[in-house]
Amino acid sequence: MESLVTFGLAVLHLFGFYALLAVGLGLVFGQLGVVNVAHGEFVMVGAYVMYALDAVPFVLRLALAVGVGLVLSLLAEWTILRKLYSRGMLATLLAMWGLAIVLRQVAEAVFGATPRSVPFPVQGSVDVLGVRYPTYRLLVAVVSLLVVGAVLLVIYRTSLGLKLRASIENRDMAAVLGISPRVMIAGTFAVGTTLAVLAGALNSPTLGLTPGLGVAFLAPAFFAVLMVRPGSIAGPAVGALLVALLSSLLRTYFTETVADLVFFAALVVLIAVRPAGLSWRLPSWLTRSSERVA
Amino acid sequence: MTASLGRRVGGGHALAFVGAALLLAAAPFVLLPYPLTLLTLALVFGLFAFGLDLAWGRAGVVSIGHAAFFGLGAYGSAIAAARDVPMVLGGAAGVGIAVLVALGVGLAGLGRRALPSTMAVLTLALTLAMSQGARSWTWLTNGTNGLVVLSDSGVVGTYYRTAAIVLVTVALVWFVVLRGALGRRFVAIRINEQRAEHLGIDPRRTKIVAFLISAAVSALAGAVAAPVIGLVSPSAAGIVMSTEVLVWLAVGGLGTISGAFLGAGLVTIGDQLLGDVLGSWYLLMMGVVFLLVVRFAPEGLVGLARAALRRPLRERAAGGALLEPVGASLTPRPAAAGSSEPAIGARDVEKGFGAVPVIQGVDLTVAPGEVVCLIGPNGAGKTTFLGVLAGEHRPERGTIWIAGDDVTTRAPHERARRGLGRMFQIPSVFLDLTPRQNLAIARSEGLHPPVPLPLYDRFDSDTMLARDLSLADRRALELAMVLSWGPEILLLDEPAAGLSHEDSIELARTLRDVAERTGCSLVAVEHDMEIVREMADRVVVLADGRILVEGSMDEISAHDEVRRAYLGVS
Repeated sequence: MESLVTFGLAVLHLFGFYALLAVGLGLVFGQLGVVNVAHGEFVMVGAYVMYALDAVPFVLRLALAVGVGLVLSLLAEWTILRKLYSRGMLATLLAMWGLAIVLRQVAEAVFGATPRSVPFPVQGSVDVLGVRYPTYRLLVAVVSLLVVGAVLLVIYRTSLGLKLRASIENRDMAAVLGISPRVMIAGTFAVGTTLAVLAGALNSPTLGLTPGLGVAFLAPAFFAVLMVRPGSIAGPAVGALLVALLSSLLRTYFTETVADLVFFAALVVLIAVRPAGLSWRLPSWLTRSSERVA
Repeated sequence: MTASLGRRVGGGHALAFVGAALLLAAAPFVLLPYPLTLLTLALVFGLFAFGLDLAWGRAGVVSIGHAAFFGLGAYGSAIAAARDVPMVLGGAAGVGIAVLVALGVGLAGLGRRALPSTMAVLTLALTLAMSQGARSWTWLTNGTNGLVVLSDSGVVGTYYRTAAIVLVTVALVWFVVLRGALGRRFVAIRINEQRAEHLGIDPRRTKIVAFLISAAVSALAGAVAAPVIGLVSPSAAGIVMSTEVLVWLAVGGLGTISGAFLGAGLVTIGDQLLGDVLGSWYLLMMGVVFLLVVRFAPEGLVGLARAALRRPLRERAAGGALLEPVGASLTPRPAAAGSSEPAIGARDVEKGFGAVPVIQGVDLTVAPGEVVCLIGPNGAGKTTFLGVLAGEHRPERGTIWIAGDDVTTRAPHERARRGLGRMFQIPSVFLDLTPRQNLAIARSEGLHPPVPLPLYDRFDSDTMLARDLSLADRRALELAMVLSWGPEILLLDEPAAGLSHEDSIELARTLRDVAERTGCSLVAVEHDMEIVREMADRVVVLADGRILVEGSMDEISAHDEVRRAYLGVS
């Protein structure tokens, strides 16, 4: 029983983290049609902002990290990506990878390659069904899931969200209806990557900070996006739960290396079986028509 | 053999090869040991970049984790050396494992419906897993400390061995792969997968083969690199190495041999000169350079040089592939008459999109040499039906035959290899090649000798890219390609759209003429009744996914139901 609760709490914590990542990745993917390979680096940026500004109170630091994320992503979209969309997805993908390289190297040049840590803002632990669990982890999991919920609420229940969804569904038609594609692309990219920055900032006390800390998160987040119906915006959050479950299970029974290899193998199998994402309904015309368009 | 040698190797190529060999042979006589070591390093890294280029630059397969393969080769050599096994065996084992891993990744990530960026994520995860494995399996790899590989042959000996392997590998791959049918197919797939597929090229297989060769060459580079670097550590398979090879290639120039070696050479030498002074700022600078190249000069240094030297358009478009029509042994077309087998047939085909049924039970057989026109109101399912015949949509029910074979579950390229040609509503040609190269690819993939037509002459030109042709010209080019490819059945989707009246009548006569002379069956969706009258042996009217009526044009136009449904006559 106790081990089950511990396991559940670990899954919850990972779920919050991957939900933030996967929803952001899914949004950018839906809008641009390209996986943001710099997504993990934005996690790293969030964590390092928390490290660099350690004099500032924690909550204010979180807000600052979000601000940095917004500015950075808008700047990147404006200076690098915007000119490349017309050159096709390969150019966009490479530019994002270039951005990832630069972010990693800036972090290494400024902070060095030695691991850094961020102190916990909340010490102590709470009793959950007879298991002692660090308060901060629980808090982070709850906050992460609340943020994901809020973002999905905005996307599905406000007119701004409607515009965003319209633009993802059919950018040209949305443009004809007066929804600026430029604003929507920049906005989606900013929101999506800022969610990753927030994930990094929130989890900075539990992560060992190195410039390369983000790269490992891309594959699980992508896995979460592929686990659900292609094009779905809320789906990646569900996918994140499955990823959290899977990776917690693997970590319980295997060493880190074997867990990574099994996870990689699972990713390969998933892609082989459902290359364009799992649709839990049977043959969906959506996947085929989107393939034709692409 | 000699003919093929002569075709593949031009005078310039032979000169470049001899020049490179002489320069490489002379280098130890002019260079001091340290620069010579640098050159050796630059050569193996150049080979690595060349390996990546085979996937990324030639076939358009993204890999951002290619060091995984390099690392496998390097560890193969190093582990063998540490256990007193001949290094050659270890290196070969590394290459073999790399090919197997690449096969697994390629089969999954390059599938028919895989998202284009899947390979990026997969290869990134692969390089992370590899370096993680190298770090933690200390009994095999000695963990983060790495394995020391001593070279027994001294600086000059190592140099000559390395240079020989690099030169021979590049020359062989260039001659066998890049100048052969594979190189041509890489270009075709990269530029227009849809068109390539409908010329009978298997896109998935071509990409996987490109990825396998690429992995093998990269692993070989790693195996050769081990004694040159002297220390094989997890970083050889890691993310930084993967990133660096991308930078070398992007800076040097994609899709060129000189670009791969130039980029690797420049960055390696720069790293030795500036790396110590600048430390991690050097890599940052490389990252910025990479971004600048992607953003402003996607063709890299070699591309810039070529533009400055005003190399001929066709040379730049082909990127080293041999795009000349081959007079290969094409089987002459079997006699059309006498065969009672229908050229193509569909029975009881149903196809819907989600809840919307589009085709609801269509039976159609087309005899060899017959011209069938599909007409019907918008939304009748004409284009979808062509798509079902060509293999783009899989029907929910029913069967499709080509010349007696059941092809219902066959991919488009397999149907194409059985003689099914396809023309699209929006012409699909290789936009980044010249018209002449477009025709050359079609002919090289051809099934039968081309139907002699005056149509081809106007496209025997290298002065512009297909991209610069007008829509009508692109359509004519597509037709010329498909006809010179020698189809047995040709599916056409509104061939006359966008043409002037005279041109479309002319087109209809050409098509009619081709069908009569070659026995090629035509199935055309067409709206213009005058063209239908000019072409069709038989007219099939589709309405609401069913065949309303079929017969000659006169029968059709006399039919009351057709007049109501289609012509709007009450």
